[in-house]
Amino acid sequence: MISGMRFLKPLIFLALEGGAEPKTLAILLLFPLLTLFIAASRYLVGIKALGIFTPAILTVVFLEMGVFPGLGLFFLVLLTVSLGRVLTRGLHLHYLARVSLIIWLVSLIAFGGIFFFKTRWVSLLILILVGENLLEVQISRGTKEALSLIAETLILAVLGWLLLSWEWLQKAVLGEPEIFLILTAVGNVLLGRFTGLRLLEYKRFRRLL
Amino acid sequence: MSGSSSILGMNARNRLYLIYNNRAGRRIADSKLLTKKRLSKAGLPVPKVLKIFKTPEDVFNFDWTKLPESFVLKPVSGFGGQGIVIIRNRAKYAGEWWTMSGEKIDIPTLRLHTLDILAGQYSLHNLPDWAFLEERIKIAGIFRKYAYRGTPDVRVIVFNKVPVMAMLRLPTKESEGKANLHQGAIGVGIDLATGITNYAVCRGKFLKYIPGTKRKVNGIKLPYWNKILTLAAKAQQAVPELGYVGVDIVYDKAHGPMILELNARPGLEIQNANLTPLRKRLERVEGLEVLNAEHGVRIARALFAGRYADRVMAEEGVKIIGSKEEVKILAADRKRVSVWAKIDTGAWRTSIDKSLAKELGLLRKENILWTKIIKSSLGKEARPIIGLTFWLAGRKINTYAGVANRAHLRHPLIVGRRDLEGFLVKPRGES
Repeated sequence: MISGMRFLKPLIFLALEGGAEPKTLAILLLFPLLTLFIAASRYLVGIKALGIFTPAILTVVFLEMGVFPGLGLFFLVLLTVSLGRVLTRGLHLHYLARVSLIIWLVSLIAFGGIFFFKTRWVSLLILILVGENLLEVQISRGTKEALSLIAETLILAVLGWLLLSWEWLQKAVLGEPEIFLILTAVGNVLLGRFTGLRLLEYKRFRRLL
Repeated sequence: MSGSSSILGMNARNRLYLIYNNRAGRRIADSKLLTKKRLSKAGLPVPKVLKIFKTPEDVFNFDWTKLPESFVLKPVSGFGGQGIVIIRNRAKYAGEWWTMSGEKIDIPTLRLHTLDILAGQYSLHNLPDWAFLEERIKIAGIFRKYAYRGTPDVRVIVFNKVPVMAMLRLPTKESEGKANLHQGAIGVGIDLATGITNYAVCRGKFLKYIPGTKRKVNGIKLPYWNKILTLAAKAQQAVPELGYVGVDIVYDKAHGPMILELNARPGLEIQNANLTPLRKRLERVEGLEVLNAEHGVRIARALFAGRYADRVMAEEGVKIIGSKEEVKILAADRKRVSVWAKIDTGAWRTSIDKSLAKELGLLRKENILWTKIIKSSLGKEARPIIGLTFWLAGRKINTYAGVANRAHLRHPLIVGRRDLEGFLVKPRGES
C-alpha cells in the first residue's frame, strides 16, 4: 500500500542521477502549491490580482534572476508599457497592432536592460510578454483599478517567491512529493467549494456582523 | 447584528446564486436592446427606442435634426454607465444641444461618439457594438432635490420571483451623474414592506445626510412602492433565464416607473445600504413555490418587513402588554376584526386558527405565502403560512402566520416572539 503510493520518489532519484539540480526539481514540484496559494488569496482573502498566470510567472522570474533585479526590470517594463499606452493613444490603431507596437518598445528597452541585469534570455522574454497583461488591464479597467490589481499581483509574486525559495519546504517536497501533490489537489477542491466570506469582506461588511 | 453566515459574500453569490443565471439570460442582460425587447413583449414599461445604429452608414444616413428636444445616446453592450451621452435640451442653433453635464454638443461630435461606440470603445472586451438613441427619462420631482444631475434609480434584487432587497441609487458629483455605486453614487437602503428609506452608504462610508445638504437619507417614502416591487418581480418572471437578477427601475415624470435594465450579477453593497445581510433572505426564498409576481411581492412584504424595534422604542418607549391581549386583525375586506390573542414568548412564529382565518378571507390562494410540512405526533401535516396584518396595543404589525386547527383551544390567535420586538410581556393578566 505504502510502496504503491511512492510513485514519484523513484523518478526523483532517476532525475537526480541524470544530473538535474535538486533545487529545480523542488521548485517544479512546488509549483502546484504556488498556484493553490494564488487561488486561495482570492477566495479566502479577497486579493484579486491578475489571474494565476501573471503572478506565477513573475514568481518564476524572481526565482531565476533574483527578486531585486526582477522587481527592477518589472517596474521598467511597467513604466514603458504605461508610457507606450499614452504615446500610441492618438494613433487610433487596431488593438493588436497597438499592443504589438508597445511590445516593440518594451523589447527595445529590455535589450538595453540586458547590459545591466545579468540574466538568461528567458526571463527577459517572459517579462516582455507580461507587459501585454499589464497593458491589457490598463486599457480595460482604467488606470486606478489597474494599478491596484498590478500591486496585488506584485505582492502575490513576492510572497510566492518567498514560499518557493524556502529551503525547508524544498527539502520537504523532495522527501514527500506524493503527499504534497495529493494535498494540493484536495486543497483546490475544498477551496473551490468554499462559500464563506473572504477575509477582506469581513472588513467590508463589518457593520453587518 | 448577525453572524457571518447570513452575509452574502462574493464566493457564495458566485457559487450558489449566479448558477441560476444561464448563458442565454446573461446575453439578454448584457444587451440593453434584447432586455427591452423581452420586457416590452411581456407588457412591461421600458423607455422608448428612437433609433438603432448598426453600421457606420446608419450613422451618416441618419437625420439628426429630426431628434426631439432631449434624448440619450447609449452603447448596446456598455457596462457601468460608460459611453452614455445624455442630451438635456436644444441649444440656440439647430443641430446643437446641451448635455446633462452642461457642455454644448453638435451633430459631428455626436456622430463621432456613435462611431466610437460602434468600434467597441465602451463594450465589454472592446468588441464591436451597436449604438442606440433612447427617449430621456425626466426625473420625477421627489428626487430632484436628492440627486446630482443624473437620474436616480431603484435597484431591486429579485430571486425566485420574490424581491429580496432594494436600494435607491443617487448619482453624485463624483459619479458624474451615474447611478453606479462603483462610480461613487450613493446607495440608500429601502424597507421592502413600506418603501421607506433606512440607511445609506457611499464608497464604503455610512452616511446620515446627503453630502453637501442637510437632508437626511432615511425616511424618504418612495412613491408607487408596490408597483415598483411588482414590476421588478414581473421582469424576472419575463426573463426566467435569470433566476437571480438586479432590476433597475427609474421614475419618469410622465410615465411613472419604468424598467431601465437588468443586471445578471448584481453587486453586494446593497447589504451595506440596508445594513441587512442578504444570504439568509435568499435561503428563505430558495425553493418556495411562487405562483406569480404578485405572490412574490406579497411574500417579500411579509417576510422582509423592517422591524425598527429600536426606533419605535426610542420614540414611544417599550410597551407593556399582558399575556392575553385583544388584537384587531385586518380581514380580506379591509375590516378590522377584534379577537383575543395569547402572547406566547415560547413560540417563534405567530399562529392563527384555521376556521378564523377562513372566516376573515385570509385563506384565499393569493394570500397563502407557502405551505410548510410539519411532522408532529399526529403524523405529517401541511400547514399554510399566510400574510397577516394586525394591531397589537395600537401598533400595526405586518407579518406572516402559520395556520393551525385551534378550534379546541381558548385563543384563536397566538402572537409569537417574531412579532414582539419592542414589547415587554407581563406574565400575568391583561394590560
